[in-house]
Amino acid sequence: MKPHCKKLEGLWSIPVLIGFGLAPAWAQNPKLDLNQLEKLASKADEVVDVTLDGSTLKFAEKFMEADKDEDDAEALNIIKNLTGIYVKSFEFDKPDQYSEADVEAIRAQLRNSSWNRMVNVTSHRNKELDEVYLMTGPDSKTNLGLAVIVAEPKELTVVNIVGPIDVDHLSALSGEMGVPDFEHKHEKSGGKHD
Amino acid sequence: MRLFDDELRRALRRLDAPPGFTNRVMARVEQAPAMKATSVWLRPVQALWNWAEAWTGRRAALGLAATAAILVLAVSFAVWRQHRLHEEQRQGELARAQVMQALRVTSVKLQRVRSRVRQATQGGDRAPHRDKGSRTNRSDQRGDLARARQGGFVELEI
Repeated sequence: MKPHCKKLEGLWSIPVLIGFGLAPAWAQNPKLDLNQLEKLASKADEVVDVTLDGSTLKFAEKFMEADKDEDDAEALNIIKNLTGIYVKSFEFDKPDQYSEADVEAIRAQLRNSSWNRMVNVTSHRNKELDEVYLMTGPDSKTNLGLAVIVAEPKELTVVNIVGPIDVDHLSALSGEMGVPDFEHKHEKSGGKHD
Repeated sequence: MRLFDDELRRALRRLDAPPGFTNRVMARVEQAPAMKATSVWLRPVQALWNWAEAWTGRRAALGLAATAAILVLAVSFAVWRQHRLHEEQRQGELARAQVMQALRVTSVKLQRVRSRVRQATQGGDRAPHRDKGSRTNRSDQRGDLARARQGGFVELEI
């Protein structure tokens, strides 16, 4: 082999090293690819599609701060350090409008070791699935992201929040911002199931 | 006299138009209204300039023209700024509405999950509470409920 070819021989290792270097960064990315769900919009009766990236969130934050609306205070607290909120929710008028593969495409991304499945409620009989995932930082104290999948026969919702999020804070929004207070209602009705 | 006649006849003899003459004439005819429109637009400015020049003199007319130009620029800037502020306000409202909607959906879904988990873990082998009560059935309540709580994780299979 010619000498210059020998020099070039070691170059193959550069992309490999770069790949290994980037791998942890990629693995720690809490942003999910929800594009494959977009095809469901045409079949759905009701669609909620919210895509808020970092810059839009910052813009909303500034606007809400300037507006000084008391109702916004809680929301402001939640979105303060977030870098993305992505929600896709589809309600269908008949069941089986989305496939298992659609849900599986999202779950496959969450099987990554950086995501921890916090809650999994599966009802095989009713074909329902509720899952909550959290991505924790290297110190295991801070949250880097949240993912929620709620799949019912006639409804599919996927939420992906990127950034440090307090789940208790978020789910404690009952009665505020138009969020129905299920817990309170439940307590009032003497703990009876609806 | 004869010579003059001959010369006149030669000068006025019938000649065919050069090639492309008709096309060139038609092209000019088509351009004519546009040229006329431009001059129509400039005509008031020219008239105003003439009037100002005659009334106040050339230097004062130039000063007036400069003042008018600055005024037009200032008004244009104010209108543009107002439009930009309005647009920012509109986009801000839209972003806020999106934030609220996203948080609302997330909160409702998290509450729903929390509610199902709480009911399932509190109510023995009863099925978790459902937001949409119409879909709850007894077979669910007798369902095979497997619960695992490991390190704060909740796993339920109904």
